[in-house]
Amino acid sequence: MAILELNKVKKSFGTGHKQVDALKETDFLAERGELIAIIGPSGSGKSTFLTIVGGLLSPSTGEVIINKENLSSLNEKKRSKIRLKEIGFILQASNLIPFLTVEKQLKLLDKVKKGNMTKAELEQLYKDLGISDLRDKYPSDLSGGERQRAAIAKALYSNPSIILADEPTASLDSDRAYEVMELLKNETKNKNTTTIVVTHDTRLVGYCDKVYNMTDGILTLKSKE
Amino acid sequence: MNLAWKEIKKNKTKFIILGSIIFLVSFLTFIISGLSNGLSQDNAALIKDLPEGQFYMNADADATYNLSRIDASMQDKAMNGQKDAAALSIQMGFVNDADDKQHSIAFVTSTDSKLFESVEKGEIVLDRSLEDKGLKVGDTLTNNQFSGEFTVKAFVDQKKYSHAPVAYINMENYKEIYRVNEMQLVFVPGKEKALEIEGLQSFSNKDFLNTIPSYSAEQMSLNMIVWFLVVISGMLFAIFFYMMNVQKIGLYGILKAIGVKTSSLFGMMWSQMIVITLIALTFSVALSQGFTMIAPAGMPFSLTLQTTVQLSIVFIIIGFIGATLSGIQIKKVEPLQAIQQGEV
Repeated sequence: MAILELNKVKKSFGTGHKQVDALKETDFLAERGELIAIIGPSGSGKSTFLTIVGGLLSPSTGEVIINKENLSSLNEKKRSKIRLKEIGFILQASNLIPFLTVEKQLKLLDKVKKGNMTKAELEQLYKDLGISDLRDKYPSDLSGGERQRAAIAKALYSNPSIILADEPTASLDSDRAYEVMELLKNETKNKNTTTIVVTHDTRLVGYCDKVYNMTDGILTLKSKE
Repeated sequence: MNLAWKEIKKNKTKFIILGSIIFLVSFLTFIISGLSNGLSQDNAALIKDLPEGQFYMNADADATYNLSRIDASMQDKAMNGQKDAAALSIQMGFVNDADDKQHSIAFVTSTDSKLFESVEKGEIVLDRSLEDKGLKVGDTLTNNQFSGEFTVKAFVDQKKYSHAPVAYINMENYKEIYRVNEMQLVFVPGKEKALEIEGLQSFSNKDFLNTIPSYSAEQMSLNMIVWFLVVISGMLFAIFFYMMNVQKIGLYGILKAIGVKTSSLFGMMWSQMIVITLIALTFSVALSQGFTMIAPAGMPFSLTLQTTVQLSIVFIIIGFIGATLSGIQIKKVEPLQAIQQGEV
């Protein structure tokens, strides 16, 4: 069942001869339980794609449908509500709140999202991600891999339908990068979510079910090698 | 508030620096304000301590009390039936003590009134600052224009005029020294509107203070310094919070991305501003009040708790405005900024 659908979505910045088409007309479909990679060089439109899918940026034309809700027809307040409920973001390591411990980061999420995760589920999340011992640590006390696992815990908190990951392995060495991808794959399969990973790193595509290539705003499905 | 406090605890150095700046600027403002009030008291405590009322002087005196002469009939008209009203004169002069040491003073004499010291002929009541200079009750003082001698009857607290200690003398003695028969001023206490008396001009206490040579110029300069400091503090608040907010744009983006409302982010910033400002102000109020106790006796310094509290409230309001203006960027931050770090 399609959890995410993009129909003729296009995004342009600027007007007239200064207009830049960051994302050319795109159709896209993602099913539950799929781990999808979007690869491409810097400035190719990957992040624009990710932010449109995440409801953080409105497309110039076309429609974005998440779990049967057409985001294009909703106002910002309703879009924000769907974003919080349906989407988990994994950003680069710096996206942890520097003055909160790992546990407090999740507690803040719990407060904002009005706590729909039980204590047992939360403990399981800590366990799955191997961060049970890190809960009292601040981001500055964590290694790059630990920080990224904490960021994944934030994204997975309250079981979103879609996980959007922007360069989740950018600051990690190869071993840690593979470890993170393994984690994302397991979470995607075990919880039947959809994960879209935007990355430069072509070594990671082996973990993904589908790989798309983004070049100059054009998204094309790539056959896995 | 919880989030705000956690950030303060984790980034102690940054917030201590901000608090120190607020402390230093507010402390400086309190001290300058204390000096301003002290000089004001030193210049005109005699007038400032009087209840609200009206001063009358001769309309021909061109608002210069030294030139004013109020004859008996005008004096009667102004004082007629007014409770505690007094005709008075003030003249700068000097007295010599037993060692022939000269002391500059402001002679004050008045008709019978609760508002001024009642002194018999040959007696003198002095401001306490002269006691600190070695004069005692019972000492005899002379003046080269006075045929007799003054005996010090008592000392009174904080009675200064034009930076000189006040010396209350009997009206007859005053008339002999200054060869005059009329008083310069009539003071009528009360909040009622001034009487229209032909030949007399009325002044409120505040207006009368401004007729004292140098008083308004001195006070205006000091008040300008105080208010400049307050304005500079407000700008410092805005600049510091602006710099902090610029550093935290990414953080605000992350918080917005996880669903924290803009109003909560403003609440966080205001809470931090209030906490830091209150702690800094508590230190500067305590220290400035401590300074009033240890300030050298000769230093004109007067800082009441009421003044510091009033200035503190101004600081909090200015801090709030400064922080809010700098916080407008929070409103503009999009969650997108947390995700899209420069890349399109």
